[in-house]
Amino acid sequence: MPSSITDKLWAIYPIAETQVEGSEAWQLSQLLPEAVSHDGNNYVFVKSFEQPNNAIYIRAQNEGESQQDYEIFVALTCGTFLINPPANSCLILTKAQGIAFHRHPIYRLYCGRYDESDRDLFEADYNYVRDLAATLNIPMDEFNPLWPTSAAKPIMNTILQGLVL
Amino acid sequence: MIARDSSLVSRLFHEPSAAAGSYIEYDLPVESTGDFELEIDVSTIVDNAVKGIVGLATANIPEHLMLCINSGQPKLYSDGQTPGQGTTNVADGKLWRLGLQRSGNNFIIKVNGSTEYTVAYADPSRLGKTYTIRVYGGQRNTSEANYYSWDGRAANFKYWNNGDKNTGQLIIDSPLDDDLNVGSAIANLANPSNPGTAYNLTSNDQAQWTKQGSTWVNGEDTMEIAYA
Repeated sequence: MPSSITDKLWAIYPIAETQVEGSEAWQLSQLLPEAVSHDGNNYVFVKSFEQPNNAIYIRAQNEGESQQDYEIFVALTCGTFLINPPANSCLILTKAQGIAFHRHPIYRLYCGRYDESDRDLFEADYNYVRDLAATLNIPMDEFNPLWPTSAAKPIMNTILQGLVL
Repeated sequence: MIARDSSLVSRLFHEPSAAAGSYIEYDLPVESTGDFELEIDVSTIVDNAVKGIVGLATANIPEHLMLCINSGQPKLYSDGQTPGQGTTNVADGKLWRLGLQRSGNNFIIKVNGSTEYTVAYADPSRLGKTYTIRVYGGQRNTSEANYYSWDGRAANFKYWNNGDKNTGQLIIDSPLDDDLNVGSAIANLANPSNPGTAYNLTSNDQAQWTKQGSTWVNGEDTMEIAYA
């Protein structure tokens, strides 16, 4: 029997899942037909089933964990899910986690939605992620000012693919 | 029955988010063939994102108009027809009153009732259309309606048609204090037959605030009112 739906949590499902009639993702897409997709691959729903199947939850911030470190954790957890979601699974998160993820340079690079007028932001985000990747022993090239903004998404996808366990 | 009044000391504010792609759309398009004026109270912060405060959309993207905040300053986006940008930082968390007035082929962008800057629209043939009105997220050079949603709060959206706020007809008057527990309908006091509908906003996206002097207070959160 399907569980009830809550406003308190968000759910992210691959777009393909919303095409499977009767699935959780399909039911949410009927309820929230204007759900947003930032990456073209997944929908962000502002509601969730109370007990979704095969759900991946993002843990709360640990005591003593800095806000910056926690937001990096949230961004990497979300990013590695979005790039390669396990079959029939969903990501469940709070609104605060969703906002933190959406504002993070990792997510902006992953989505790659920079206008040409956003080149400075593209470069700043790239350099942020490059410094972060260095701490994880993942080498990245220096930023090339000749790169088009469309290069952002494949760059970040490669980094996230390398992080998928 | 107690009338809705923006001077009430306690009210709900919606809290849209860019991550959710929150927006409000009025059910009926508005025919604005001549002058018009709109205003809205907005509280948000600078976070590198363009914020579509109010969007006027047609099926033809180059005709779109969007009062937005870009890098913290008010701007009218219009597919390159209205260069320029304000200078006041209106993305500091305070509640600002932003306005947009069409006067002939000119647009006046207002902050707290005063002119921030004026710009002539380069191709007037694109003006005077029937617009779909969106709050919290407009469109610009994209078919993706949610692209310019943002994090913050808004209140008291008003739209005067066929004139300015002194001479035009008030056709939208939305306090934006609707209880989203009840549903997604957004009241339009000026024309109840043309309400708004909230998309990607739930009961989790609202909070009760109390007015204390020139500041709204919600627990430890405060929102100073920037306009007189």
